[in-house]
Amino acid sequence: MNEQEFILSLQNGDQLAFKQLVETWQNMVYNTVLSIVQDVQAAEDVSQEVFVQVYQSVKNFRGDAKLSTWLYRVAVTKALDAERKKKSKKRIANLRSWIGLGEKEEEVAVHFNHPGVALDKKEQAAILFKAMQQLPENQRIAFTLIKAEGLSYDDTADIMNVTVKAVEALMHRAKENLRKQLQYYYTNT
Amino acid sequence: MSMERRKFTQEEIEKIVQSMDGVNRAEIAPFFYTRLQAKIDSASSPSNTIWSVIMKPAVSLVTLSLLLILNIAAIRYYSKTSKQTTSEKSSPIQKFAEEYDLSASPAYNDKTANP
Repeated sequence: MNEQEFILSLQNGDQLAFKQLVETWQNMVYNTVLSIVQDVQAAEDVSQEVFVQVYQSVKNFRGDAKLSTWLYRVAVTKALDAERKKKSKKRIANLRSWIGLGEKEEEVAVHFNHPGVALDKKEQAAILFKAMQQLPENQRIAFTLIKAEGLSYDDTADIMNVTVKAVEALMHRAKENLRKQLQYYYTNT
Repeated sequence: MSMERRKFTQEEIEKIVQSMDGVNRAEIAPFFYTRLQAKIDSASSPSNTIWSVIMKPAVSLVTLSLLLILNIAAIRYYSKTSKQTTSEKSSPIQKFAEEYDLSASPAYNDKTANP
């Protein structure tokens, strides 16, 4: 079955085709989401949301892009949405504590350890993941897709809907920003 | 908890930036499809869909505003018709009085009448 036939099966509501889609792409979606939200439970929830959206909107998929490209786009969008929600919740909690409506939440320094990182690089990778949170969104997406998912610049350009040159520039700026941040790295002790 | 500035050498910084090179893909917990299926079922159940629509703040606000407008309109309409009914109730009596000229003074009381 080629991709077109597979998409047609999905659009016709074939449950087996959907199961196959999930089982083929679940780790790709989860890994991408996890590298952005940096929390195992949140990544599982967001991954579920990704596939729920895919299930509900596959009928509208016109096949302009590859199925994997579309899945990456949905995964990145959902992960960034979850990040924004988390940040706005945090801002509201801070505001409430500031005006005396709630207690200030103690900020716990949580170092995210990506399960796929080699043991000897765990500490360095945790520092890198923390620094990545400060990157502008498009630099962060490019860096995550290329480094965490191991995608090529071409595939990343397709997913981000930009040129390969633009992806190269984003990667260059992301690395420069990370280097700058690491020069002034603060750690909780 | 206190914040401590940590100074990295250029070599350390490069190692950190490259620490994700060759990372393996993280794997999701087993039985993901089963958990997903449960979520899809609950999301597509009709009662859930209706409630999710009803519980939207915008929908609630519009419904409340409509109810308020309807109530005000009903009260105004009721008070208007009750006034009309009162006036309509008195009108047949007035008509009767006009018809039989009851509003005119009786003849025995009429001081102007000649004996």
